[in-house]
Amino acid sequence: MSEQNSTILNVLQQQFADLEAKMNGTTNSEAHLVRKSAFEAVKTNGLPSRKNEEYRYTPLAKQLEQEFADFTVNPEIDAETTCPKQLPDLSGSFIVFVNGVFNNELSHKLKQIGVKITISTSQQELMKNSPVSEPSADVFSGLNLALASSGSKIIIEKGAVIENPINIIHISNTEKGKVMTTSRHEVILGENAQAMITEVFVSTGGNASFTNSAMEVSVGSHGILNHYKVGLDNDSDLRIDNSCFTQHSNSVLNTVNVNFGGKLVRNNLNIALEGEYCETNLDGLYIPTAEGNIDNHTVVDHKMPNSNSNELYKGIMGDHATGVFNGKVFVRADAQKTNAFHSNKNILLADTATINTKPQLEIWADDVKCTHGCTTGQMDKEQLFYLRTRGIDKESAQKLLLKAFAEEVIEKIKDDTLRARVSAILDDNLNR
Amino acid sequence: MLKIENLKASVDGTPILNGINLEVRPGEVHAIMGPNGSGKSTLAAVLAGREEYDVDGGSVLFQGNSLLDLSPEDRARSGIFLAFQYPVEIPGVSTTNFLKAAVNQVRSYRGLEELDAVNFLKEMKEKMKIVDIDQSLLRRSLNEGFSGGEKKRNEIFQMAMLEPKLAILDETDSGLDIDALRIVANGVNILKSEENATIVITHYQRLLDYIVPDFVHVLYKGRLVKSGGKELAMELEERGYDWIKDEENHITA
Repeated sequence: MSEQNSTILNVLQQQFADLEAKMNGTTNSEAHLVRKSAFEAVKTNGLPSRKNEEYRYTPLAKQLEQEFADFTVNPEIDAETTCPKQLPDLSGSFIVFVNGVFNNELSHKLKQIGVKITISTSQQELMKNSPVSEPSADVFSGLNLALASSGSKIIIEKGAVIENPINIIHISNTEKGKVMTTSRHEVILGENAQAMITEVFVSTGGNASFTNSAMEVSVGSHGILNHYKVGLDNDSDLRIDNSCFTQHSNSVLNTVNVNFGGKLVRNNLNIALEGEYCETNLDGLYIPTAEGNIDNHTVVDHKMPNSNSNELYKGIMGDHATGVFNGKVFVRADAQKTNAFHSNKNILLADTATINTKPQLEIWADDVKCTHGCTTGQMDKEQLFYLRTRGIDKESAQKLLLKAFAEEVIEKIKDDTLRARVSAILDDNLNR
Repeated sequence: MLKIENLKASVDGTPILNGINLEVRPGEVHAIMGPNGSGKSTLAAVLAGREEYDVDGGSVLFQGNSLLDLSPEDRARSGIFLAFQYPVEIPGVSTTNFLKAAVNQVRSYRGLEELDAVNFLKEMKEKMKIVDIDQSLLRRSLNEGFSGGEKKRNEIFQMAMLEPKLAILDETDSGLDIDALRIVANGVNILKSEENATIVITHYQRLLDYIVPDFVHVLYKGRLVKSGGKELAMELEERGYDWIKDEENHITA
């Protein structure tokens, strides 16, 4: 157990014990043993400190130690928790969790032809519905596995084309106290099926929250999945998300990950291309608030030949904000004829703002086309001057340029309603 | 309209303008010619308010007010327009996109009512004819992938939309073939009136065949060393700039 985060580990140990106490004799099941060993690993390794290369710029463990050392249990919440105002007019199925508890009132349209949605409201159900798999190397992924007590499983039938989006809404309501939430979701897109899944993270209230979410996604061969993740966290929110995608042959995955706030937000996006002729488009936008930190770690692992991946992550950092981008691309020896184009672009609006960016490319195959790169700069002075000579005031000109910069990512959202909504949220953020 | 007195400017401590004197009245076209490095583009940039240049002395009065105290946007709103020698590319921002904001900020500064979407479009369609520009071009990212001619036509189109009192054309002829040059010059001539004025900055006389100047000034080593009518431009075309340099260096020696 590492010294600096011992208190928070005790808190987590208590959470795990509370869960076990609720399990009425099923603690010896095979699935629970996997969870138990996952938690043992968390205890052995400790939460990653800044000495850990993957968390060098993201002091999540330290923040947890500061904010959650006295945490015991989530507060009761008022029944009238409503869907936050940021989310009107999204259509389709709504699977809503408030502080990690499935909320039947806010959820609707859980039945769609071609889709089977199963909600798990306890750890037993979660284990029954989704056989637990080994966690990825990330310690928080192991912690998620050990502590998850709710979630959903979404199965899209072979050949089904789902027109209505499926939305998973995570609401943290901290009005009555600090909130810790762990949820786990699984998506299985059948062969030749098509669907759109949107995850939204949003919070109300001024107390600290810690959300640890995980999603495992399998994209069947010839399937097309549009996956969107929208983070609308508050200034006191800590959040980590581990999303793991497996793509089978001839499948297409379009994933757009936009984040606008949070005290500290960490996204781990792992994409394994297990089949041939896959296409992966992964795009992201991060605009942390004045003191916020948004960290995106992405991994694209080309394991088989003839696949393409395109990545564009863009960030705007002002004040004392911090952005982190770490994009790894692996092209394995078998993955000949791979095309992988990855890019990260950043604008720093102040000398006190920070971006730590590290694109990494590791190639074992010899017949591939790969590029990666990153740019970091201030606002383009020439562009700004040009717009001002046309009579546009400096502030409006800056907003116009930042909007254009950010829209390149938002334009990748194929769904008109969601794209318009995210674009409006961008405007709000540029105006603050 | 514009009165420049003993204007001195430098960039990074290097003096470039060493005392410019120039008066421009409504209805006039002034050409400023000069060899490379004489300070032509600097003069345009200082008038438009580019922040990298330091004004070290002198004054510029525009319609009776000190121009040098104004921000670039307020200069534009009060009626200065700079057509860029190298129009900037702005990915993701189309002409239509920023020009509506620009036109309305300019109009509101001038005490005019803002244009709604319908009237703005109407106004655009009218002004597009002046330089024969296509609407699809105006919807694309500004200047990205535009030909040289398209970039310069777009500059003059913006000038038409913003209705300046004083237009400064910074080497608008550079990189233009003769057909594009005619279209651009024709646009400038259509926009000319008794109330507005134009400063044409150019290295070559050719543009002045199409935009006929009332006055021609020669800029050399940061000062206007010679002024005359349009025949001065012809003389420069024939004899080049060396005789000016010789005369000037002789005097200072």
